Amino acid sequence: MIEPYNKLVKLAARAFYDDLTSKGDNQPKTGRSDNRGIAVVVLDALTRRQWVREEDLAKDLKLHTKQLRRTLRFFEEEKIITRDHRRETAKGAKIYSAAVAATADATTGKEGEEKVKLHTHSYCCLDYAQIYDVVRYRLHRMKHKLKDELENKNTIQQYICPNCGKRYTAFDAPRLLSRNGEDFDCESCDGKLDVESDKLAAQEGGDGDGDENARRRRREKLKDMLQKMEVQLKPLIDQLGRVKDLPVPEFGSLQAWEARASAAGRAANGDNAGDSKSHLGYNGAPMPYSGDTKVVVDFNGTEGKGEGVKSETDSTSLKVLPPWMITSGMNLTKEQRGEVKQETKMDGTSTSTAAQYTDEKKSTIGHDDKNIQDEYIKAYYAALLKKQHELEEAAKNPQDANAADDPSSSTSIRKVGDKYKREEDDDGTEWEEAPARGNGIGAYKVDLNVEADAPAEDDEDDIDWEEG
Amino acid sequence: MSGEEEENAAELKIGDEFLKAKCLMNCEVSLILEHKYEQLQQSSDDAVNQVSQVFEKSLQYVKRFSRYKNPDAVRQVREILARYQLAEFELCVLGNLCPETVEEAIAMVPSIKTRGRAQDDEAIEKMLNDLSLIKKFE
Amino acid sequence: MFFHIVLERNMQLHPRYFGRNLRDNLVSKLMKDVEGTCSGRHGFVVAVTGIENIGKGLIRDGTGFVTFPVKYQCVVFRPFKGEILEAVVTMVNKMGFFAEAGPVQIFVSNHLIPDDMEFQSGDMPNYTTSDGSVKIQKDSEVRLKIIGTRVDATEIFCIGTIKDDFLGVINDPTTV
Repeated sequence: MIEPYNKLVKLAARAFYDDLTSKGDNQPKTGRSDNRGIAVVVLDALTRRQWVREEDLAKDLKLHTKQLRRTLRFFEEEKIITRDHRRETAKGAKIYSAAVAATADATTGKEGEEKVKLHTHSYCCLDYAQIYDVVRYRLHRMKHKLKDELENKNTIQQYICPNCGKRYTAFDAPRLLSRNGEDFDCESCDGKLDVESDKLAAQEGGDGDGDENARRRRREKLKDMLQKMEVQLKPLIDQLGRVKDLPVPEFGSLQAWEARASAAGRAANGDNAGDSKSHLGYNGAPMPYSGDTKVVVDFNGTEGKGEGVKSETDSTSLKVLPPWMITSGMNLTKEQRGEVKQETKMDGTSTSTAAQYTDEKKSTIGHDDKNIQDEYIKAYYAALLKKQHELEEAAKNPQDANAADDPSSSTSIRKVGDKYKREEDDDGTEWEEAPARGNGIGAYKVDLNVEADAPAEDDEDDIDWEEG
Repeated sequence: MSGEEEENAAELKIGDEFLKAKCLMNCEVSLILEHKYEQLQQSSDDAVNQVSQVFEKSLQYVKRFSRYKNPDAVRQVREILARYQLAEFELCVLGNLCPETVEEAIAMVPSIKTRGRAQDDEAIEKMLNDLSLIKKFE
Repeated sequence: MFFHIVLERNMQLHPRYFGRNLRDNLVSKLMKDVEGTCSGRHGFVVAVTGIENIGKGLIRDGTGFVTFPVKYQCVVFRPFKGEILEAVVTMVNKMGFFAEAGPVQIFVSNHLIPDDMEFQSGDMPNYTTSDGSVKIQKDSEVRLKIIGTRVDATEIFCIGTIKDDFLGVINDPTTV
């Protein structure tokens, strides 16, 4: 549900905040000349987070905290984000860290221990409900202003106080009149007001209205702007339409969110404990920030009785998603949960449930599984190859074997390596087979796909794939 | 339609309440207010002083901007304009501003053209002529 | 624009006004109460011109006051956005000029004055065309178009323009 809203945020960011240094339509801002484009980066980063400590965000984005704060303050004024500030102890920080861990964020738990003194921390979070309104209002005003100027060039004059920046319109004229009647005075600071010249189409041609050409040129320009606006902002307007009937993602206040997130985290921990000790670690490590929605699914799934049931709901719901999502999603669940193993054990249940599906569905499920299996096989044998090398090295230098295994550089390899080690315990036969094959073939990728069918089928295919 | 929703007299969007209400030309208002003012003068010497500023300003205004002073002429203006299927509001704008050309009339009351009442230029021309005749013979 | 409309009001009357002159008392109180007031919806109430109907009075518990629903005819002045009317200039400065059309005040900012008219300061500040043929100063009569109205509890204030066809000075007090 959050994706369409995130897309809206990203579109709006690029449409309106891409170039903050240019005339800040309604808010005259100073000192932002140095952070062009940063605003978009910050908003994008926020779409991948929920509540986030601003220091952490700065660290992640490699931004100076001050610069980030300035941007965030601007967005707060724009009603794009909500912020929360509080003085907190190490304990407070821990609560947040726990919450972060529970929402699959990768920030380390260490931070809690580091903070000993009382510090004021600021947190921020996108305010989707307001963003929706703000963007709509902005579009409305833009269109209105252009149309007003185009249709009758009868715009209400605006005035601004050069001292305090307070703004007025011609409607305030009677109260602004100075004592001698010559000027307009600011109500707050008594400064002489200036005319705010924010007419969109600057008056060209000097003598202006008497000059028909100048008038026409101005109209052309306005018309052009209106047209451009409609074309260029169409994706944004479309996205607004798409989001219209969707429930708004709400994280609530910082406290509420923390409470919810850590509670959910605890629940997940309890459920997963029996399954595998390394679950949470897996959850966090490979996908630092994008796991929010998936985590929710995980919890729901693990609360259910069997893994078999879960895998089916997963695959049915996932088949509407784009392929890259299917694979990454499935990979996650299978790898993390050791589903493969479980399914072989729970053979009976999963086949019976699978049988309830129509042929069509089965084939799609099968297809999904096939993709995953292909990937799995590739990764599996890549790992085997690696292991081989390691073994070869170990043969030369037996002591290094374990050391080389642990600090592996790529997480994905490491995952598979882990997994495959576990498998090794279960069915040692495969382990025996694989290296022999790997040894014999140079271009392992191509050949493995052919040959690998046999061992891969042993694992899972009996259940879903072959039937499909 | 309530007034706040994109009121625009040029398109005769003045709200149902006023669209159906009786409009008054300045010259008509002048007759009404002067009559009332006389009454007040007769009733007691105090009443005239108690007249509101709104009343006073309005009276001054309509006296200054009445195109027709004579009550008979005022009646005739309304009679003539009434022949042209005008909305009350349009009728009174024309009666108040007395445009001299068709172009000016349309600029003052754009709704006579847009409302699709087949108000052609010829008809408008005739209407303006009739009005100017009253003025001449007043 | 002036309108003749019917409005309704609940009038509370003290028992001491009861008697033969009840109706007169009610009417004079009505005039005192409503004439000169202004509401965003109906505009300025200029004058009560007649009574349509006085409903049955309702005695208020405890006080002895009686409430009468009164329907009355009145002349109101209500400016509309987009309306074109004539007004008298009351004040000119470099920001623009103020004008009055009956009870309503209208401000025309300088950017809504034709570009060929320039501000001239002095004892009699004015906007004048370069050839001097057209002049806007205090007491000039102008035809303007209302482009915005602001309503508060007791006032309606308007923004006007004279930057359009057939708008501007009607007569110049110095030349006529």
